[in-house]
Amino acid sequence: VTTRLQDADPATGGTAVPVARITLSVNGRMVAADVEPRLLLVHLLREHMGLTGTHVGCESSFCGACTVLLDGEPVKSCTVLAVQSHGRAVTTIEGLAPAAGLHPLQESFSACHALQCGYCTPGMILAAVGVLDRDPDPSPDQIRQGLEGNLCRCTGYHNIVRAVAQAAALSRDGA
Amino acid sequence: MTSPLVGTDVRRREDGPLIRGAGRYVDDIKLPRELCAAFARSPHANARVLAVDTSAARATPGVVAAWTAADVSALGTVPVQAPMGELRPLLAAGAVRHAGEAVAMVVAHDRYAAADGAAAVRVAYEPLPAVTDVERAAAGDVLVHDHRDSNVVHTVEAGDAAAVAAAIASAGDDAVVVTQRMVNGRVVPTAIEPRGVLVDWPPGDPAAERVTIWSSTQVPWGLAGAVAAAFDLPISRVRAIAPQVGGAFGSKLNVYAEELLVCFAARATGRPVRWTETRREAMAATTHGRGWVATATLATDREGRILAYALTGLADLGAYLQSSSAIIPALGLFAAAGPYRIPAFHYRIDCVHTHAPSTDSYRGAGRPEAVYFLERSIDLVARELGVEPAAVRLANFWAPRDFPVTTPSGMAMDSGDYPRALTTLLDAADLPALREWQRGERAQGRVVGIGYAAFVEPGGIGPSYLAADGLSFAGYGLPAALNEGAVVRVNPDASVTVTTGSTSAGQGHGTAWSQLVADALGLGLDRVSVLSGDSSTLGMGIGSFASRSAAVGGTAVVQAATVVRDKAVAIAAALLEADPADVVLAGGVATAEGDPARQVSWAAIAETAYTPARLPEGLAPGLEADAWFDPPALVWAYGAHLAVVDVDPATGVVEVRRYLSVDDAGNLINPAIVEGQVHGGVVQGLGQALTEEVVFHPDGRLRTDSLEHYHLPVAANVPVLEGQMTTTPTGVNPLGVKGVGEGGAIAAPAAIANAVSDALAPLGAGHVDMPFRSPRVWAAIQAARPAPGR
Repeated sequence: VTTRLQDADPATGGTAVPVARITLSVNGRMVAADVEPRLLLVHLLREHMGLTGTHVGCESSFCGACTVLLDGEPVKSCTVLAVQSHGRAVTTIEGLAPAAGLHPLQESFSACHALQCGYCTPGMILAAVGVLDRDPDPSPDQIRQGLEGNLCRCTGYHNIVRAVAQAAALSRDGA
Repeated sequence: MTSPLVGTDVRRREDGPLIRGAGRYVDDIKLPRELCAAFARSPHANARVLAVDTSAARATPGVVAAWTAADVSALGTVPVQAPMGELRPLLAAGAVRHAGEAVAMVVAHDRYAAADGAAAVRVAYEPLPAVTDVERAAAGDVLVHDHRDSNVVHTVEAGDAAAVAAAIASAGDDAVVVTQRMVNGRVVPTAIEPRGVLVDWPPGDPAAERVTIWSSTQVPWGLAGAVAAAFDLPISRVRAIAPQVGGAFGSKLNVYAEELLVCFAARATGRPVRWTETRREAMAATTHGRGWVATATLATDREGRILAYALTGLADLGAYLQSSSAIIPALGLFAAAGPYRIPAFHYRIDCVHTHAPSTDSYRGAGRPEAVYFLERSIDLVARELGVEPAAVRLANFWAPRDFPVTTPSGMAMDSGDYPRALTTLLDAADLPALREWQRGERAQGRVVGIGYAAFVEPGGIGPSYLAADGLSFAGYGLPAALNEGAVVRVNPDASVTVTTGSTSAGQGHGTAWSQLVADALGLGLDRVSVLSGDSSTLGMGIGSFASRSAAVGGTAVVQAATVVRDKAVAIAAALLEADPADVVLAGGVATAEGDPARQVSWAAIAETAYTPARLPEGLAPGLEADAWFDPPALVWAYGAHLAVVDVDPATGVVEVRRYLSVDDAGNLINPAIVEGQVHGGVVQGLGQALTEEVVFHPDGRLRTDSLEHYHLPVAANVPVLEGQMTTTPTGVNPLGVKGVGEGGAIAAPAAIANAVSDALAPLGAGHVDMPFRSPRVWAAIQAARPAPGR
């Protein structure tokens, strides 16, 4: 099933600019969209698809709040053009786990009090998915190195590192 | 009997939506037909504005309207609490006084078109020399506001300079005196969520117009009041909502120009208008913190007993006041004498305008600055005396038996055990073993340091009489009060709605307040819902800042819940035909004491409360109470923190190897949340100590205008945080709770600076200012003369 997205709400009067047709998979669903070439992936997700769990913190790839998985790899969606996602698969925080369940990282972030304001959390969790994909049994230092591209201002990272280690342990025990 | 929830690590109730990406921050809320705003901002730090031309902006595809200062002049200036300096125009008129100052506002169909429009605004500037350095600004070579004869606009002073001089003079050769100029530099609070505002102001009959504002703010009631005042509306028709707020740390404790301007744009266009701050804007248009340069003088006798302490310095306000810019040094004064007896004390901070973004509250607000200068001074004097710095601290702490204490800065402190905090810390670190390890490292040529700091964290602000010092939000049209309110309502189905004036930016009040209410009413956590951050739900809310939420807002919640419980007990007693004194409310039921078979459920009590025919005589229908708690005094959290650092002498790179903390916040409602507050505060302090620094180009433009150039702590550069708590309850509120939000940010810069100083001491280096970025540390090492005999 391919959902066709409108570029702009006609009521708001779209601007007359060239558009590109892209198709991509978002959280397992095929999507087609007509987008301005300059449209950022994060805005495609947030503004056009209502996937507001992906946050914008710096528009320059330094904070990581906008981290999503592109073909399974964490990327900063504020510095990826929507057209660059053509033909690829995007996973956002909303698609990380089935609607009824939680990914082990989501569970461990809550269990370890690894979030306060929650704004960095979706990006941090998706970056952590990448850390655990590379090494399912990372040392605390490897976790810290792996999350270096994601800023948190509330937790001091302490409980985030604990949460990622706990999720790794749970996943290993469960596997 | 169920065990109490207060004091346990209840898992946060806020987390569910947040870990699924279902949080609702301002930019996640969408309204039909909304427009987006963007601002044209000055690239210059000081310039005359000769002309602003918005014609090209208006002609940009998608742009709906553009406005300049003349269009919005009726709205006045950005409101502040105490006008002890120059006020900010909503849009620059005739002159710009810092890079990033807004000159024009554009609204368009989407944020891209709005950005195009803002970029098309043509401004003719005549650039002028700028002064961003606070000491140069104080010297007055360049005036930021040329109708004034000085950039120094306000002074906070306390104590007795003559007494300090006399104490030092009379000690003569017995006095050990250190005097040091130190910088506690400008930093950016940097919530990861930038500011944002969305305004819905439907057109219609002006006599019935209503405005709803969603804003990433710490002060929704203040925002509603300020909008009501600016647009001459009754507060009943203004609703300000702080939805989920993605961090604040003081930077959202303000009503900003953009919030009023977006209201203006929504009214002018008849459509909802949104503005979402970019990070580059945030670096210049959201308030900065700290920015003090001061000279501290500390004198002790030969045994290290403090004779006198004086702090004289400058606080950088930036170009214009924001809410509390000029009041920060008064908050610093609260903590300026630390946990010490100081027989002669003087404090003077001059507030100075510069061509720079405004400063205002940032986690600790004046207290991290004041504590830093004092704790560095103690280490400097300990070095002069040739003793372990702990000896000087232990020789001067107030003893537990001394309380209540009136501090040298005139504040009443009710409780504390400062020697225990420091000795607990040094025991946990095993200081003798650490010093032994350090000697071994040094013998092998390595540069390692051990440093620690003790502090007080005066928080829990009120009491309301402090409003006389400009500490309330009277400037936003709120009463001159620093209390906090709460409403607790048991609904007919025995669910509970708690309304609080405390506004969370991630602190977990929803969980903590639920714990308080569930315990007070003897029912389950899942029965309790907490509403916060919505100005329409309470007549007034003050908000969350200065480590006050639990101590003031939490107390109000418990007081309201207690009134509700008493009425519920009266109803239950009637239903059980028991004496109210014998009724126990716990586990969702009321039981007649001594006869567990006689029970009535909370559901039956609640239903009865709303059923007049069944209500006991003399009771009015309903099961709801409000309470307003105005604390009689500040609460005084305190603690001691220790850092161990490595310095690479070849590169100047500083690494924090270990970090230990002991904090005392009195009784704890949720220890996990408290620990999280300590962690966050410590790492923000660590950032200030190691990497964070606002830097300007010589012409006044902001060099650190992005997160590429402004370096926040990252996980890889932060050590494991080895924290523990001691518990010394306060009597200032019935919960016995103190504040905890700011202690980490107060302690960490001082502890780390003392550790770096300790590391560099054998190399002969003197005081080095933060942040300890490698070029600065390397230069200090190069400049140091080797110590004699080394």
